[in-house]
Amino acid sequence: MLRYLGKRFLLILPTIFVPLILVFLLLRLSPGDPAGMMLGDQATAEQIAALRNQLGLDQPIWVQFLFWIRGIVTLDLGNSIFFREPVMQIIPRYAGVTILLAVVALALAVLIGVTLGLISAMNRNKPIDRGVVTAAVLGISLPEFWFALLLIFVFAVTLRWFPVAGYNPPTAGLIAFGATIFLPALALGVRQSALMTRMMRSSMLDVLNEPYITTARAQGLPESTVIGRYAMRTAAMPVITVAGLSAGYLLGGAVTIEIIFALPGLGRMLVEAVGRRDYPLVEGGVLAISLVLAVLNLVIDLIYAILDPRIRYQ
Amino acid sequence: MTAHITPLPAETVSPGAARKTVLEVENLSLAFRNADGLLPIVTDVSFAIAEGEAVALVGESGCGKSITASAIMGIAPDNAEIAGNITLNGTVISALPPKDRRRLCGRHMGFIFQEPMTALHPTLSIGRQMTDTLRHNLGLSHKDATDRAAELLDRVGIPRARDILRGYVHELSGGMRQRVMIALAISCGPSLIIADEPTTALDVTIQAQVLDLLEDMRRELNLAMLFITHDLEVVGDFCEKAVVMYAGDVVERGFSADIVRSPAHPYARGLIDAVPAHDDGRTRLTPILGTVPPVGQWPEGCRFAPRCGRADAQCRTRPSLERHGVTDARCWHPLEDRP
Amino acid sequence: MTEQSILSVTGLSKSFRAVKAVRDVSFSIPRGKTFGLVGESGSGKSTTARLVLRLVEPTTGSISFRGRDLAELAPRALRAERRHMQMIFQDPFGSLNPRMSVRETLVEPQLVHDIGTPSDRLRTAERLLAEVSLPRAALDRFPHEFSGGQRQRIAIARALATNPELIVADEPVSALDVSVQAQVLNLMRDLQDRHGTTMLFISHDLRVVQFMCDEIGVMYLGEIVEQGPRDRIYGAPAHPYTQALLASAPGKGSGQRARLKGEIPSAHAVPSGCAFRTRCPHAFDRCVNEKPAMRDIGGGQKAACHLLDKAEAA
Repeated sequence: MLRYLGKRFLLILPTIFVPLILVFLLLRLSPGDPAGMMLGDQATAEQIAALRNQLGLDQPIWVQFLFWIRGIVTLDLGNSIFFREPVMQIIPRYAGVTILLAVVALALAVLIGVTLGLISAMNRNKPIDRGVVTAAVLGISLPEFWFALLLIFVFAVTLRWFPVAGYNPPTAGLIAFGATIFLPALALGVRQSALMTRMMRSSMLDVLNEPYITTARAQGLPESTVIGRYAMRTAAMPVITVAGLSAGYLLGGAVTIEIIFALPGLGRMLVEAVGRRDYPLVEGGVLAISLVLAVLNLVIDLIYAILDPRIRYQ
Repeated sequence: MTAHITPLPAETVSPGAARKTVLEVENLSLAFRNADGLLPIVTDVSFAIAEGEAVALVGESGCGKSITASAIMGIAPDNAEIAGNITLNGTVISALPPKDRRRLCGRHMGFIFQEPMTALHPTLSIGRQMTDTLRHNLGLSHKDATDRAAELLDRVGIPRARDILRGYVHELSGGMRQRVMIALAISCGPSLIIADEPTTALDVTIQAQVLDLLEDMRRELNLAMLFITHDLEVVGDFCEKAVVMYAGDVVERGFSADIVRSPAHPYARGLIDAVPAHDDGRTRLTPILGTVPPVGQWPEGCRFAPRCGRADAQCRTRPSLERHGVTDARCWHPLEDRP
Repeated sequence: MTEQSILSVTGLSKSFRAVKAVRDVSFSIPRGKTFGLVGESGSGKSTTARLVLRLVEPTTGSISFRGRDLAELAPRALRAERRHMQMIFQDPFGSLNPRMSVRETLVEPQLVHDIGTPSDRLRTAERLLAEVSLPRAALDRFPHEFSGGQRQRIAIARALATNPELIVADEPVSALDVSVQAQVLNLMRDLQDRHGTTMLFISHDLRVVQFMCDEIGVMYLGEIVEQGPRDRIYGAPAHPYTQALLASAPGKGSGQRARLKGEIPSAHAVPSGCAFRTRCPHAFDRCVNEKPAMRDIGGGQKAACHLLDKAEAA
């Protein structure tokens, strides 16, 4: 078990570093000069040169790369060019919102997906099954910003159950936090929940045909145990896989959702930082997102290993 | 592996008359309801099994033997229409609602499958699967159920029972898996065991071990056993009686020694001749011509007639299962060259 | 090795990392004869079949086929030689390409080996179909339209398409019902008589092997433990494993069945000395320390067992 997790841990290292290197190169190679942008139109060439020197931008790219690596290793990601304060202090302020948004969205997606998929599979080819399948197709094919706007229109503008936009941290109370996170999380998770519904439905239908389900029934176990313990245990595996894969998708989708709902999250911060050519902040943001992703995947692998003893031996 | 358990001497099994009937199947028919109406799968199957007796249900794939077993267990698919009577220990169970049928499973009837690898849960421990059954059916505590499970594994010849209980099906060899399956099937003290091709997936030497184990269990626990197989040679060794099925019909029924030695039905004869037997030095086999007609395309009258060398105009009407010599056969022109 | 042997295998071994799948296997097949390899799962018989065709690369050993060592052939020469050796697999569902019509299935191997003109190839396809007793109308149909027995006939026709000198049949009738099995076995014998094809026949079914084969090799844990003419093997088996195998077969009456204890050990950990000693009812100290050599016991029969020495000495 420990060996399995150790191996998994080594495998996530590239998933952190490859995106970082790509971002480093993309930023350096794309046109636009942060020093020029920071100092504005009135700046003289000397002022810009001085700032470039101060930021290390006049060094050859490989020197910049080494500095940057040293920064990551020593956890000193430098100062934000725009905010003029250490990146390591800025990131946590925004990351919390994004992580909470993604986690709530994932939880909602799993809850909705597993429930609907199960209902659908248990009522195969009945009207309720057809309804769920149709809804899932809609959920997968329609873009999330459209859902976000639809949710705002129905629940915030018309029914006035939720605020239109803005954010209350969990410290402001669970209800206040829930009110601001529920609609964004639902909008973000709807597509994943549709995917998981379909996944759950088909894997449940497959599992119900497995001989070990017949064995459980032939042993006289009640249907609730057969479904709830024997079938769910294996049928949930593909859903967990989807949950793992969707973590990346959710973090990416958070950008749109944070902008629509005006949430102060990492996604919105990143978009703004890219616009300002704030290299250290962009790199810090990407590092944070990669780390979150890697940790999420490790958690999924752990759940997998707990649920399926065969995996621990591979 | 522990040493093979010595079987009890044959005399301990009392001869036929005194034995109580455990399972009686009368005129069992099963059809699938689909868009086009009813599709018959099994028609008019009747047989009985007494305690301590093994009855073979023999036939090729698609003859309806496995679905007959699931109809007896009450685990046939939802779209199956079942007619006829199934009586277990004197109670007509075929009329019971599904919930009550389920209660009989495990406790009164045990089931053994062909492929224990897929018939046991891949991600629940062996112990969990056994204790779930024991706790639900017998109301045992967790500890009692675990003790009982270990005892059962020990009884079917599995060493280190406590360790195996914590393990999973993929960690076991094929023969061990089938032993676990047998332990599970007998765990709640059923009076009937239905074994669906229990040794087909195993190697010959392991097959022999598992057959021995099943025979020991049958004798020790006085179990009635329905043994589903395609292999007539296994039938002759292992079962007292046999029911031969073809295209959803019982075509011959009787003592297996009689059927294996001198069958009355041309299909049963064909099955025996088609197998290359040991030591007979044939250079050609005698196959049954053609193929089994698929469900829904059965001929009128005798369903074997199109493949039968003895068929004539009379075979266009359906024969009934009647006594011919020492066995019952569903045939207008039964074979008579019998000793 | 007799002069007229078409295939002669010497010291063939195959290891997959620590797993010794096949160990030092030697046999030869005279032209037009059938050699049977019989054994339980894990005995290495299927691997041996694949080694002979060099579908799997041997670790050591030589495969002399038509006077050339297949193990030494370069890929190009090997491809040309393949024309003379064909294989029939157990699963008639998996071994035929579902998107190829029967016509394409039968023409393809001729095309690959550049045999005949297009019209020749088609004529051969028609003739082969007739030989395996399928109607001409079958040419334009696809594998899923046929029953298991018919598919196996198609597979046999395909194997004959290049007019090979050697056919390797790996459990060709194990997936078929008994009545159909008899049809296919008869067909294989007829075709062999007509074409004079040499055959390596792999099966776990002692009855089928007895019916089909002239010479038989009994495999246990990667080795041939006994080999000889059919009537000797079945009539006077010398190795305890062969004896147990024959005694375990059904149809012998339940009372006198001799039982082998335990199961075949893993090929990861082959027992020292004689590989069979862990299950052998006659094992003694010498079997632990010394590997028995293959010894001739007359009548073309050979077996590897220390008991044979004892018998001789006595």
